[in-house]
Amino acid sequence: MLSGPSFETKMERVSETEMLLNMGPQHPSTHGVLRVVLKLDGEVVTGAAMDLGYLHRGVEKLAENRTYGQFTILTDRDDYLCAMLNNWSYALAVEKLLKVEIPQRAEYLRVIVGELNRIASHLLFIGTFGIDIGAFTPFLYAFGREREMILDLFEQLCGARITYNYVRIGGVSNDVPDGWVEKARKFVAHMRNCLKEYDDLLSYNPIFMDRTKGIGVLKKEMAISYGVTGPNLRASGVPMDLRKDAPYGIYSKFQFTAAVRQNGDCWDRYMVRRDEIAESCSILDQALEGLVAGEIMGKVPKANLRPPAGESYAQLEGARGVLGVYIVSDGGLSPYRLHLRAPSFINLAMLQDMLKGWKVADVVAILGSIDIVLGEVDR
Amino acid sequence: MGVIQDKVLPSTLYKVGGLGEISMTTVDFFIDWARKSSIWPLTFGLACCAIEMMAAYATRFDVNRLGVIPRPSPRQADLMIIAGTVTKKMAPAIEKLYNQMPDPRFVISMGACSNCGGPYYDSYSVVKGVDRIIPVDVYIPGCPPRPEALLNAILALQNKIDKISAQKRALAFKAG
Amino acid sequence: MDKVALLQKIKERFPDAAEVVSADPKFVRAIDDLQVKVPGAQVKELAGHLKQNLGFDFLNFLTAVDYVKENRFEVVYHFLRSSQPALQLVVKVDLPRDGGPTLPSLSGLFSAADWQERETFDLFGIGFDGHPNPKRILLWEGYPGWPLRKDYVHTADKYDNGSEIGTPKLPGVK
Repeated sequence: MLSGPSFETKMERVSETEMLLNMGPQHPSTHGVLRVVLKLDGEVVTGAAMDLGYLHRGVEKLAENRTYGQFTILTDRDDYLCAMLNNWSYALAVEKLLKVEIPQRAEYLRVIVGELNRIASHLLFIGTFGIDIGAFTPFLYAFGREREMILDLFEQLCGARITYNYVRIGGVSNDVPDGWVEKARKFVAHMRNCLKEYDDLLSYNPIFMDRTKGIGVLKKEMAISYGVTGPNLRASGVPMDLRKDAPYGIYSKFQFTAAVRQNGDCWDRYMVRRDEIAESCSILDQALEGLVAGEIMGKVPKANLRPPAGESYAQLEGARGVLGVYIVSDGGLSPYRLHLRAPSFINLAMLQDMLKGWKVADVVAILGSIDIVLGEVDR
Repeated sequence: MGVIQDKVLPSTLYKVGGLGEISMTTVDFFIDWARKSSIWPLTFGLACCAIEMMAAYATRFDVNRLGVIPRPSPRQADLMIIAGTVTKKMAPAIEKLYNQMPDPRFVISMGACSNCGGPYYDSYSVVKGVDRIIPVDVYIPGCPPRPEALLNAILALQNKIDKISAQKRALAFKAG
Repeated sequence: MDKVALLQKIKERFPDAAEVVSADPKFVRAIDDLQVKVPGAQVKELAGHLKQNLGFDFLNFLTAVDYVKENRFEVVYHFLRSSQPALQLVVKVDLPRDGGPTLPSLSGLFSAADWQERETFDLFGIGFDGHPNPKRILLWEGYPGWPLRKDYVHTADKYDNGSEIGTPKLPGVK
């Protein structure tokens, strides 16, 4: 299972000046259990192949054995860095089948927790990308200070730090406790100040820019051909953001711009995510301002949820790309077929072509800049 | 001299005129104290529990104050924290890493997935608990467990290491 | 362009393409966009036509559904336009379940199909002709069976009914 010539068919036979280097599955910089086999000519990468499946848990098959309500916890654990958005995407797909009306307060709460989770995910990206390049301090600031503040807010809201099971089918599970909205507002103001700190510390740091500017350029046509979505696509100049182009929930009520950059290198992918934190802060301000009173859960049966026979597909803009859930229902308690359109899985495919021609040291920078989560890649 | 005044080592303190203080203890106690105060884990996160493990390494929960420094190579590590779901494809790699760790080595199984399969217990590709592959010293329940739970597990492991020499002597005594 | 016009444009080149309707009126089709069913042999041509002439340059996802009672697989392709993501198109292909179902591979036109076809092959056993690397991607070489099929029977391996090695041994103790 570990070795096996399964992907040497993709690479021609290794000549006497070339070397095969195996990165992973246990490696400090692969962000999880990913195995990358590099064919090297000295320091230059001439070929790359990826071996996935080290975290394949068979979630799509498990869905056929769980009720609709029970499956929400499994969606949490797919992209465990932005679990709220996973929950929301699954809830959207089932709600389309049920044709249920979501109360306005629940919609606002979904936007608030979704954007907070997006900020948390991007903060973790800033921290770990810095570590990949060699900068340890931004990790302690982004991950150890700001992200912990967001996790504190989530803990007060629903009791969990990472896997929330908060956005349920039909609404959300808990209402905000007293004083939470005020704390969230204070956090958003604090976060805006911290972005200046990150810029001083990391974004415009000369060493960081040397290691990421011009490295790992992803051209627009290749990005579209590979089905890349999310910040990776927006860094290559394609302004596709589902929150603006195909709004779901109440996103059409908010004013914000999609962060787009033109060059498609590692630095642009980093800066798009940094800009997205600023945009999320402005969406949060508007959502916290406009939070209406009301119910938090629509008219959905609490037990024995049986959506009518049918199929549905719902997608939303996750932190890593377009996160979609395709459900085929036969009218029973469990889905007949459930497929997750996992953005990290589809984004990762381009790495095979993108790594060619760069040096070994750039491999870590490029892999880090794509921001994948192995739970989603392997499902 | 805090080591002696805080009574970390069971020892007898002698004051020797002109030279200072001398502490008498046994090598076993000293070795156990050294081992438990510098547990170096392998950086090995599999899934969501790895994020809580990273949070334990970061500033708020700071596991470094217990002497824990993550090491990337199994040859330099004496603890392996299995944080996340163990799949059948990953199992040979885990076995290999465990074999590469030198003695004395310990294993902490963090989270429901590595304890017993967790929410994926009926999946076709998940190993139902990492103790089917390697021996485990401490189990941490939770999905994911809080970073404080990981700190608690390291303290429990320290207690366990403390008792190693005492158990060895007891067993040797029983064996005659 | 709305659904009717799009269907017309597709039917000009592919008269076999038909809009997907279900026999049961209570079937909830909660995908608002056009769904077109074509025979398996024409799917590559249709994808090329969509990409070159109709502007659907983005393959969003591809997957399969196992309708074991009707003895068929249904492979689902979801296209959209990168410049206009709100307009989506679903193409479905029926495949008989027996005898090693295969389809032409789209990986020459859409690189996104590369890994997703491998995943569909891995989990369902549907082959794709012309794929540059037709190997399993999530499970390992030699895995017995196709897990996501409805008639999949799991064969227990050494990790399923394994011997329990749970008791830790003290160092130095034999």
